[in-house]
Amino acid sequence: MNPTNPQSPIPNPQSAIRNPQSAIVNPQSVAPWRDRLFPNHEWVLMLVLLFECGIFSLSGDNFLTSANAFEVTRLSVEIGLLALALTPVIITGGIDLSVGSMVGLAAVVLGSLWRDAGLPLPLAAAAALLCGLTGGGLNALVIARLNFPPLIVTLGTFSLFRGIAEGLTRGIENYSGFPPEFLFWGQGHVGGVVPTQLFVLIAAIAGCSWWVHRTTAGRSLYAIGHSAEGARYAGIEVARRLTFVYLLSGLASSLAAVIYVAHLGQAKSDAGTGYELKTGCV
Amino acid sequence: MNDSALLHAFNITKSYSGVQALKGASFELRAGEVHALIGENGAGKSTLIKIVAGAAQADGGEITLNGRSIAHNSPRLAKSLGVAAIYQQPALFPDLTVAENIALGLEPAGLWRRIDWSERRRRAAELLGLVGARMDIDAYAGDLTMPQQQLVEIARAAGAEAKILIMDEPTASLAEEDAQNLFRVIRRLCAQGAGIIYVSHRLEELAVIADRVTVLRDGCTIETKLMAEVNFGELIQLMVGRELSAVFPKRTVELGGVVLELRRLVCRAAGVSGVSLSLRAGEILGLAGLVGAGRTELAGTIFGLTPPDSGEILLRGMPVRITSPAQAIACGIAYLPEDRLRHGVIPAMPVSANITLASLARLSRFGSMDFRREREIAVDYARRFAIRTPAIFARVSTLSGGNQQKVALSRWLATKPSVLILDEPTQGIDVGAKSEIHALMCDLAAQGAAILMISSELPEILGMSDRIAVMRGRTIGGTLNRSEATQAKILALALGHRN
Repeated sequence: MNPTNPQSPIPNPQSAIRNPQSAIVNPQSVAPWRDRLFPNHEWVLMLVLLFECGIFSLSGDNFLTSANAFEVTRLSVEIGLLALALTPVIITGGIDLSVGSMVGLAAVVLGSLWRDAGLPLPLAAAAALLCGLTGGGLNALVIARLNFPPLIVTLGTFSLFRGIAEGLTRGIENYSGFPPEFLFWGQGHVGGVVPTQLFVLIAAIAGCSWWVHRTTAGRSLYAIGHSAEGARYAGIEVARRLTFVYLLSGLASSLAAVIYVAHLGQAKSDAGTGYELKTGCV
Repeated sequence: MNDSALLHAFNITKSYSGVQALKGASFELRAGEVHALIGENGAGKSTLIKIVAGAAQADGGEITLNGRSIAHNSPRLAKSLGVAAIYQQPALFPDLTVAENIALGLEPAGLWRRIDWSERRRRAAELLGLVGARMDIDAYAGDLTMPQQQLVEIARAAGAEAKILIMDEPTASLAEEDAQNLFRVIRRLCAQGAGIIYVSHRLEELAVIADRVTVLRDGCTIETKLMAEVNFGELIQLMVGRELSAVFPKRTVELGGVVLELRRLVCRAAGVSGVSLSLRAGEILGLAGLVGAGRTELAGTIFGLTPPDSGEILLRGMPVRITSPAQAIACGIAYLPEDRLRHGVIPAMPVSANITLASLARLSRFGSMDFRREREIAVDYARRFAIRTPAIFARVSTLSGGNQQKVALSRWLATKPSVLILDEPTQGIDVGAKSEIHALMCDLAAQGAAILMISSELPEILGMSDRIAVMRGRTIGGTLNRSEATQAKILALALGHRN
């Protein structure tokens, strides 16, 4: 049997050692653009969405108008914020089921502090955000420091946050009558057509995608998601990163709550019900 | 064709997306023999094994299993004909017990079948007894050591009455003693009429266990020989197709000052009790000992994975407190872990990201990541170490073991360490990559790095070390100089024999 085949597509391993240049491809090469932009074939979803839009534009009269487009985006800001908050969490291989409940709790905190405690609205909104941070901190503590599985922990806080919200309002309180300058954040337009909160979402998307894709911290999140053990052996401070990620998720949920209240003009304990699954899908 | 042949594979070809992995490999296995299959990584051993086990389909050639000609092999068919494979990484379910793992695939399946727990446990104990293993059958598989997990797999194969047992690098993570035990089990199975296909990079052990040896190179069978009739030099030459000195590329290096010093280091959680050591710049200190002697645990304690309870770590004479790997890295300590796929690399991430993972802080510009710099670093290491990868953004999981190890090592060199702890640096990688890594270690030492090398392979310890520390019972049992060290002396220290 002839061991050496000149046509061999497998390069002789030894030649690579003698001539290391042949071992590696052109340094300028990067992944094909489609794989970089859509690493998981998301372009299929884009196609489906475009197809859907096409059908609706043909069947409805008011679908393909800029007013409708902006109205749709207004509705998607709260969901979008939660989805953004969940993105880093999911990258690390975790989940935060409590985001929807946090929307309810933060909304109620905002409403009750403003109406019942008589706090100025900006202060009440700040308190709502603080509430989000606290809730996120609770998740972070149990998940990152005590090493409980995120699914179990946030399923617990999912009930806890909603429960506190129901308890505070006895399930009946509905705070409304917010001043117009607050409602502007949820109902107003900039330049006549663009919904105000769209700017919040755009800023959040820009910040989040920069952080996740273009910073060393974002890279370490991916490492944790692929292998938390492996990341730890590479010197990544896993607990610290996870803590930050869950804090951020709580904060973003409460921000979504503030916009939600400004959007609907009312704060009830059932705000954000079912959002945890919707955002998970987004 | 021999009548007692359990397996006959003739002129097998196989290509994966255009790459010809096998170009006409032939292999024959007789009942009662241990038939070694050797070759460099990429020679086609894994592919041939997969085809025999039914995990892959051959493109061409003939396979006869137990006298039956196989047109389309499948894992199910292969299993029913008595083929069992035990891969390098044990494939047990970590959250099931030993007994449950053994029962999987052995007991008849059925949606409503009731489990006879006492029968299951009895059968598991019986099979473990058959392979000479003693362990708690109610322990979770994930809590077992590597050698124990392997024995569970062998017990399962014995339970399936496997006639053809494929073992891929079974001793890669075993210490001498466990390997000897494994060999006893193998001989017992052979005596019962099984044939064993034994894949290994360790030529020394083939001389002990194998009856025949088949060498693969570039997808072709080069030669099959009786083990008693060949020497190592010949085998190595057949594998690489050239002369390769089996000599270690050890160089004499002018030793510098003491870089790392341990004083009575204790970590109760990891089981390190009172270790004192010193390591000088340019020195390679070999850390020998049996598996379980506490070598990996000591490395974990120095590296901050399991911070010490008492004792001191001194770097260039200054005491340091290391409580996390991040701090260890900041102190200039690097640790190449034993378990390459779990700890050494992140297989699902690209080569470039793996290389820079431990030195991300160096790539940060105002919080933003310098991607151009990352690519430069990755390409630099890939070139310097001849990492054979289709591209630097290819996932590490697509690389061969030796190249994965080079990626893992690159990651640590990118942190510019002054102390390098290498835990089984050449475990399960082919001869070529192995000597490359050895040469690299010598270069690093010559540049002034202090290297602590843990290895279960005595020739490697003897060939590479300036000094050898032997661990026994979680502390240092003794230290030997390069000139005085022999295999016998190391083993005596590891086992605690006096003389």
